[in-house]
Amino acid sequence: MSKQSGPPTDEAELIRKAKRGDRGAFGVLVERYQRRVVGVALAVVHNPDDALELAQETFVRAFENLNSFESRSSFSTWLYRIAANLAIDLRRREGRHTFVRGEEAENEIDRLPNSAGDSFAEFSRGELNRRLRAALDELTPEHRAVILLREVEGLSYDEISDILHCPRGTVMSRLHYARNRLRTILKTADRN
Amino acid sequence: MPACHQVKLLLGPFEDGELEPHEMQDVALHVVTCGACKAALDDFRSLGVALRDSLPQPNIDGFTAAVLKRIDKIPQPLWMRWRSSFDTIAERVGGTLSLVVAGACAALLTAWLATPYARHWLQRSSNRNEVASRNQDDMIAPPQQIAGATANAPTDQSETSMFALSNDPGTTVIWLPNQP
Repeated sequence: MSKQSGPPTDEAELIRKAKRGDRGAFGVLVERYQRRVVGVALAVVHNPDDALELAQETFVRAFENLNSFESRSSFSTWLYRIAANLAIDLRRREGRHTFVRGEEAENEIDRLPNSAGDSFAEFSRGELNRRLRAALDELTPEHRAVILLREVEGLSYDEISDILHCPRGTVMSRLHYARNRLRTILKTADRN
Repeated sequence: MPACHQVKLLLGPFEDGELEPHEMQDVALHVVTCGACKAALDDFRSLGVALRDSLPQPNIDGFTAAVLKRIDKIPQPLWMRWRSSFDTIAERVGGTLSLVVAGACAALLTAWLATPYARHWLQRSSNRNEVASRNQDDMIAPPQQIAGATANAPTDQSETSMFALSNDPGTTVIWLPNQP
């Protein structure tokens, strides 16, 4: 008589159920997107503990406001936007970092060093990782967020633009700057 | 073909596949012939791989449970709880039984709501029937009464109170309704 069906896998069905208060269905959505949401938060705040806390808050806010989600954008982009907004708010509240606007980022490209030297692919893996983390710390939060969202989370330029509320051109220029800056920092460290 | 300084700006988007098809082609052709741009492109590729490898990912064990625990503390509207309960029943026992359960609930609710009105209506209806049957008796009674009237003596006081009778056979008989 009783037909035990497993949790639905179709995202639209899960969202429909979650909108009607089905917490189990929302749990499946959390499982599905938790890593990416943590990644987006981490890209902006650059602190694992804060990122985890922000990611939890993201899902709680998402559940509370599910009825305002109208499927115009994808559910994942909607989640990432909430996560990024919360992370940006946290960073502003704490006032730990300066906030670089799009135009300033554009101008920063002009100050890029021209000679980047040879390829750094020959670095040993452990050494490269250590230097990379140090180099990331030298970037502004905006540049770091863009490069991590692109390289680690694999988001498209349009998604990054949507999540961080900046034009696509700004995403491109920040990414260009961040890549060249990291490359330069690594080369300089190698020479020293 | 674009110059080297122009291509350098496009190397990142080229690596990300975010250029227009004709730009992709231009950059690809340039990189084949330019050693510096080829080295920069290799660096970008290595950088991407290294970034993915170098960043420690936070431990997300128990993350979903923690989120659901926080969500459980959020009060849910009553209608949402009812709906969720019906959905759960529907999932567990199938659509037909849930329909039966929903139908039974609706019937019970209707009965519960309608009972006071129904009782009231039935009471009023029985009163009406009682009056009607009395009136019917009254309709049958007059010939006897009239016959009694000709005898010039009403036999029962309670019944005669309903009528105004005359001893004169030529007089019109006035029928009065049975007033309580």
